[in-house]
Amino acid sequence: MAEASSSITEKFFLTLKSSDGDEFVLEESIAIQSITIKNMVEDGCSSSVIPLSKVDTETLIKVIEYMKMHSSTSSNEEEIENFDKKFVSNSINTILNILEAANFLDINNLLELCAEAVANRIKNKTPEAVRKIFNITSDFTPEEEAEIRNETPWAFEGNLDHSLD
Amino acid sequence: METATIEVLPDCLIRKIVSYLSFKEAAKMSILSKTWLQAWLTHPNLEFTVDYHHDMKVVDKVMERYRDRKIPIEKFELSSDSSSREDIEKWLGIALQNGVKDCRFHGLACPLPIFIILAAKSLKELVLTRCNLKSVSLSRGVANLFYLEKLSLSSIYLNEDMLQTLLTNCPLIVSFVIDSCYGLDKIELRNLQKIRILYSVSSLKNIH
Repeated sequence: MAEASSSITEKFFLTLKSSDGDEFVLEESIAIQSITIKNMVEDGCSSSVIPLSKVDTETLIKVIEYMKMHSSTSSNEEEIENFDKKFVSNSINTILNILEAANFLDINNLLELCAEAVANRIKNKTPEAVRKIFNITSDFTPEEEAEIRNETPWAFEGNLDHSLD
Repeated sequence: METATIEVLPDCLIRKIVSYLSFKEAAKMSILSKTWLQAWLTHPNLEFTVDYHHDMKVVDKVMERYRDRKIPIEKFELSSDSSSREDIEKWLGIALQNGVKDCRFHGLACPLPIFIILAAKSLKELVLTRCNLKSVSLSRGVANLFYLEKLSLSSIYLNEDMLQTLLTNCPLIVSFVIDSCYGLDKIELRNLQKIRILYSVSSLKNIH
């Protein structure tokens, strides 16, 4: 019996390495909220350091913060809700970086949270402001763009926010 | 002010972001690039406000595009005091054909094609505000809303039979909101095992 109970409470740890080369040690039970990491663990690829070449240190710190808060044992619903609210008040560039990391790491609820946050931040903005924020180069000819505006004039009514934050 | 530091987002993430924008907001962003245009053209949530005849053609064109390209629809919302019954039946038919789960109608002048809605097995959410159901009488067993989880009725003339038929045929309702509806003395909720939220604002005397 003693053996069985000790194996239940025994904690496994994983080491995650950011694209900047920084290493973070994290409980396996928390890290496997990422399906990408979970698959690596199941395939036996997690005995050494797990390199996350697409996630920089700043972003990885945020993602780990999120996973710790959302791991099932330690937080209640209200705490999580307040955490999420504060989490999405990060700058839009930070949120976009986290969104990409969530996509790469396959953490679905983080992906949905960030996608909704980005949408809320851009919804009253002009297309020109959004173009700058997202660094988007138009691939339309001026004629094509005029045609789209012409087809959906109702979409361009109302007061819009020109700021970039 | 922030400067752009991110690289180009993958298309799947742009589609995800756009799905959280309203239909109109997504249309506004469609001029950003071909990816954003595509994300709008396949937006799952359709929300229309139709006040003039001209708008009707816009809606009709969009709905025909969704029909012809079989684009999945999650939500169909229509606010209109001028659409004809034929138009509404056609658009609703397309929405249902394309798998709509959330239907909302506000301020329709013509009677709602309630029989089409009641036969919609995929529907999870139904919100009706200032709609006319008066001329409809329901016989038992006509409703097929087996998966309906949320029903909201506001400013609607109802009669008891109609409401009872509706409720007994929606066994999985979790949330039922009834607000400023007239023509009712009481509501019976005996068969609704899963109901968690009941919100009622009206002159009802009895809720069982």
